[in-house]
Amino acid sequence: MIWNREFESMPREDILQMQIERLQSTLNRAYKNVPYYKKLFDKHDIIPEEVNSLKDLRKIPFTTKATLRENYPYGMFAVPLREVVRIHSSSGTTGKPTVVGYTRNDLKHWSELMARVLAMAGVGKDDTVQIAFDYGLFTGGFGFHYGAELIGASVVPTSLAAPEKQIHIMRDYKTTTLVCSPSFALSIADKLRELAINPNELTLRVGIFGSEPWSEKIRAAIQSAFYIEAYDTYGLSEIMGPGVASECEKKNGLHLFEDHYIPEIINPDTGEVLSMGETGELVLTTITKEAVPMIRYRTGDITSITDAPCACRRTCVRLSRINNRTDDVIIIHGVKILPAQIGAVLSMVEHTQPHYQLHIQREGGMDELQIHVEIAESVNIDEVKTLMRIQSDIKQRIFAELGIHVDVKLVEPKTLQGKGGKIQRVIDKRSN
Amino acid sequence: MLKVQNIRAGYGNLLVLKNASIHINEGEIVTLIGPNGCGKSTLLKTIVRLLPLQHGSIMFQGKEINHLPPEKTVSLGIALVPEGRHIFAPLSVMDNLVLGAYTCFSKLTFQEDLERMFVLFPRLKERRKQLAGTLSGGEQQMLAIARALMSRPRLLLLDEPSMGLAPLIVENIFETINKLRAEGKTTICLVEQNAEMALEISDRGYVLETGKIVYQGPRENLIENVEVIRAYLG
Repeated sequence: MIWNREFESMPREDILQMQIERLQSTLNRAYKNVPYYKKLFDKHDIIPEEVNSLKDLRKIPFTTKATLRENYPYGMFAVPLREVVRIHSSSGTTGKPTVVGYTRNDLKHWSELMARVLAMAGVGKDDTVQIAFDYGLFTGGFGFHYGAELIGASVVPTSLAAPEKQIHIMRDYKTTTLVCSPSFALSIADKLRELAINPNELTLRVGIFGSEPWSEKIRAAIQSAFYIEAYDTYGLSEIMGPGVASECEKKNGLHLFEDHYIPEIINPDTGEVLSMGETGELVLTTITKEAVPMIRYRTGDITSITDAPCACRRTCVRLSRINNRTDDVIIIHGVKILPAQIGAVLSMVEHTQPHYQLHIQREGGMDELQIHVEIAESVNIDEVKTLMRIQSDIKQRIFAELGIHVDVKLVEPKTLQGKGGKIQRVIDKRSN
Repeated sequence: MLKVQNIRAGYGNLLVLKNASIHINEGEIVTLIGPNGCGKSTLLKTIVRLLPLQHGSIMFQGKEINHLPPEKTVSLGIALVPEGRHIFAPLSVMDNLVLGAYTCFSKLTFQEDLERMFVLFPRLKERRKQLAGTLSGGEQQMLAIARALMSRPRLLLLDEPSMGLAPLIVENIFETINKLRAEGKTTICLVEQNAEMALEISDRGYVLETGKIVYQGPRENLIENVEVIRAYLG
């Protein structure tokens, strides 16, 4: 089902006209209202009214996560705060997080885009949608909530209730649609098996999953555990939250909403813009955002774009499924973490060495991060009390700084180095 | 129906319209709002080719009209009702309407069109023999619109139709614009100082500032947008 035929199935040339119009007014507003962009444009001799085509966009430097941190909290806002009706913050970064705001119109667009996402997966007003994304600073819960309300579905905002509770609600309330992260879906699936509940007892038929990369293998596992169709969806809070791109019933790439965003694919090392079909880093420009416009934001996600027509008759381009990132960011329960952030926390802990290794695995459906840390030579490894104290110290500090629970394993000095004395920093066992 | 990309235009060395891209779909009413001197009227005059184009392209129904003289744009189906009306004051109302049909004159259609105008503007029927210069401001505005409609335009450009008119008459003019839309034959692009009223009957709008478009969107979004409110809706 297509929620907004006018915009989702617009002829390509009309999309391009709309994009150039919206891009130009976005640049004019950003230049006028965001000091950061004014300085940036002036420095690079960019005159907003001389941007005549989507190609001209390439003259403008990228905006990165670091830009947002430097302008924390409201430096990138293009409207006065009294016009901002919602503030979200991006998950899982140490020190300064990144803050995004929404005006009334932004929230309206967000709802519309989320309605499209749900309709793409065949969800309609007769459905009962269980949203098991965190409702809070994280954008996932609210985004889907608005979309589901807009299409008139019955919304059950379970948020991150425990898997067992999710299952009871799912069964009793006759949920038809599950929305959550793929790893949470897997842990609900495990619970289902543990409780020996036959998926046929449930009325689930569709699932929409996102906020972390997941493979076709995981898709197959989720589909067979619940007897549902599972769809991938993509977004990031800096751009909008969920509602950037999503899969249609053909499951042949994620349709990106081009009436709201302009996508580019670049070579992450050189910044050079790649052509249609080539794989590289996704760069997005928002063209309707009022509160916080983003111009050429580097997402860090590796994908490719195709404008080949899709059998669903939507005309907007499609992204290939995202399985990689440009940096070594690891995503645990939707929280993005750089290994260096963990290193920074460890450096504050006594009796440890700066040698550590991150092991990520999927235990009972949930992603788990185990940190292997070398203890200092001075520590007597037979002193269990000391070891336990170090262990709990690390756990507490990581939770305080990054907001995630981790498992810590202390290892003897010089055991982490591999060949050539180099430590393989991340061992991710989830990808298969 | 109309696609305008990156047009720049002005008077002599003075560049008024620095860069504008807009489009108008068939059957829509689109409003351009913005303060005095922001380039709204310049944009309309450039579309009908009264002003030279310094940069950019104008497509009307899939055809590029960049290099056409103004009279050709009329026969293609674009009519401008200029700001300040510019009716032929020494001529009768009737003669003004005849001149409006100049590009597509045929006796048969003329009668038909005239009837239509007299239905839309009953007042003009009463005054058809009067000299146009002796009409009231509101009547002159109606005549200017009727004269433009006599060329059977597919796209009607209205420049400040409410300027200098009493509130009641303004309402009357806006009602007529609504009727035109209801007929479904004419697409309308409206330039107005009276932003609130114009937005009320519009589907979409563009906001211009110093020759550039700074905002656009469906009517509801414009009404909600802070810059628009602060600057134009009060």
